[in-house]
Amino acid sequence: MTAGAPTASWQRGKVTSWVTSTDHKRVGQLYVGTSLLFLAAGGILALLLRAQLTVHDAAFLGSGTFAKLDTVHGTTMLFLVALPLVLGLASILVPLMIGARSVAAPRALALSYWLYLLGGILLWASWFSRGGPARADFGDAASIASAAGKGEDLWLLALLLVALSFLICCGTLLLTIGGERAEGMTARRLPLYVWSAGTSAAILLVGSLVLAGAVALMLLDRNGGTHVFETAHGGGGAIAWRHAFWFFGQPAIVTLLLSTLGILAEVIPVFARRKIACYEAVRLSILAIGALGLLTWGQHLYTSDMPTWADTAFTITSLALIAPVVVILVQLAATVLGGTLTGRLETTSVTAVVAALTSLAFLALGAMTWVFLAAQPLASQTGASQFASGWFNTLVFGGGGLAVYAGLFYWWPKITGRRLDEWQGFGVVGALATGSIAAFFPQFLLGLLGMPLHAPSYGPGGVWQTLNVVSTIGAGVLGLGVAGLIANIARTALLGRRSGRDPWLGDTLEWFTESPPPEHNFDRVPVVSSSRPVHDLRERLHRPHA
Amino acid sequence: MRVARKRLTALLFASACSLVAAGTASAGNGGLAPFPPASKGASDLRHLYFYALVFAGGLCLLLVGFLGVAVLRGASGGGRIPGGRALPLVSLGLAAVVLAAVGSYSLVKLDGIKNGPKQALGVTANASSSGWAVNYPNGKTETGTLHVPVGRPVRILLASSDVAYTWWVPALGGAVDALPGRANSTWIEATKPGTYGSFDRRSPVQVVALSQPDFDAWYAQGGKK
Repeated sequence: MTAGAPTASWQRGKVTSWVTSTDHKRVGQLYVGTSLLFLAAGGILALLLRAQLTVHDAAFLGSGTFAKLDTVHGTTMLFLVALPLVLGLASILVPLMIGARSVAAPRALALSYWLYLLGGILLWASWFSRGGPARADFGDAASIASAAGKGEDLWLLALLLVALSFLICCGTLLLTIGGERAEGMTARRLPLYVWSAGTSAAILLVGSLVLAGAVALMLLDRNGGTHVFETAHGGGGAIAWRHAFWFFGQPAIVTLLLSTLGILAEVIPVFARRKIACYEAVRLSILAIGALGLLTWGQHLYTSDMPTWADTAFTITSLALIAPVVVILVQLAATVLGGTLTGRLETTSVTAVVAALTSLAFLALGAMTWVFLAAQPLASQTGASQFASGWFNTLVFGGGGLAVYAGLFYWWPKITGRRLDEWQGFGVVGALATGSIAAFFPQFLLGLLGMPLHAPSYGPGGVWQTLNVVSTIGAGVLGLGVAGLIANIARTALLGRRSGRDPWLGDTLEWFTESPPPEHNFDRVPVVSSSRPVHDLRERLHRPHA
Repeated sequence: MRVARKRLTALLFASACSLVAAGTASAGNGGLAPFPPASKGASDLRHLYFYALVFAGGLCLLLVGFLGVAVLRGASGGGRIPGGRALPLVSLGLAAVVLAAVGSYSLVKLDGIKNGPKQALGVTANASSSGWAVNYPNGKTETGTLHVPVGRPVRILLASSDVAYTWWVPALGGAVDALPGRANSTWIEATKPGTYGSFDRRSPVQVVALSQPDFDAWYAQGGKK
């Protein structure tokens, strides 16, 4: 924005320069760093929950305590880790990939980060509130409205702040993609990651609006004497809350899925040394997934009393959403097939490649198990059980987590100017992959056996016990993987190998500038004439007479 | 050397998957099958599940297989992309066929499985913090237990007095929520006598299915808990 304005001396300190920064790259790094911290915190909660569930009829955590841990874990993982992580990555990468000097509204972006951080602090501060943190199930309006103590209010406030944060961040991203593109970058030359980031920003913005409204009304119900979600006089309050919550929740899940696919659509073609098999097919599929993401929230309300016509409509749209996902997965696999993974190994990040390919496998499984949760009446048997947990975690952690991991390895040199350690990185991929299989696949089976979602304990021993033990071991391995990633980041922050502008021989504009980029991103931006501008430049340099 | 490392990873991944597969097969009910059904609705659901498993599982195997072939080819120099420009349409078509097959059959069975027969013995079940309070048409009440006759459909009207509760007896059907202020319903037509429980810890319920004469005898004893 005002890149040339002189900064006051107090703003140039090591800490204050980060706190007062309106540089989208720094704000994005704040997002990513904070989300990793919350990942560690939420992960510890997950390990505690798994410890309780390892043995049947365990009394390690009472059902009340379990409910509190479960709520804080779930809220943290979705609102404070996954979504901010992808939004933070997008904040850093989108302007660089479209050749912009900054985001359209840098101060708004910075504000969105501080709102997110404040929301996260409020949520975790609720551990110290009277009565402890919120313990009600996300979809239970009556329980939320009537819960005693301040924990529920803090939870709602946290959600409100984070929803506002998402609103502002998504709006900024959309304005940036709309108005800050380099010359020659038409819609069909936008990188696929930018298409996915833009589409997710659009649907997350719509969803966040509804969530913010519903949460504000619930806060008023609890503290202001209103009765919006109450059902004492025959109103539809309880189900209205569910609709509002999941109207946000489904676009949130789809945002994570789209970000995953977008990252893979950048990493895989570069390391396969060819263009994506069919750009237009992936672009249209991204748009289709986004549009359907706004039309499928009802798949989380199948156990509520929806009329049969609604069940039918949501079954159709939810199943339809899986088709474009399959198209993109096939396109990515085809790109690998038609490419050369092992050419130019000195400019290949083996970790990123293996992580990306493993992510594809998890995504395939996540997409196919989605069928059982999308179609009524199948979903009545799976949706209220651990099967839903297995699906969500396979898709978002197995698929999404590994893709984000690949993206971190791929873009880390650009953002920080240093490379992450490949050997350690490779080990972490192994831990994340095997940990995900061990932790989440048993949940599919447990769900089919009848174990409910959010169960604080369970009666049957035998097979249930064995599967839960396996799942706990898997969670432990995942924890080691995450710890390994954080250790890698910490170690290479000061001692990592320095990287040049274009360590991977990439295709898109971010590889044109220095690593790390200057505050104004680009000194010069080349005119874009295809969807692979840096690849084109390299070709022209090496074959000037072509 | 790096190719060997990638192949090793793929091998490890495959072995992990086969271990998991072996593990699932050894899990009590054959692994990938839902809870053994004891009612007409649950039976129908189970058939529907296996039908969907064939289609979705088939497509999943195709996808993962294609990915495996792609990785092996890509790691050794790459080749021609099968289908070329038609591949997106082919994959879309294949996915559409699979999803339509699952969806159409599911929707055809939806009304029957979700709503059940029109004629049924009507029972109400009100959930509260002290459990499910079941009321029968002849005035009988009990808490936490529901008696049903084998071979006759029973419709259960679910209600809640304070917060949301879930009614889910896996052996007898899908899950249904009781939301305060709203009426929801489910139905059971038991196919064999026995006691079937829910695994919910907050408001568990037990359904006791009795043969027709046993149920008539039990039902006639009015006012008993």
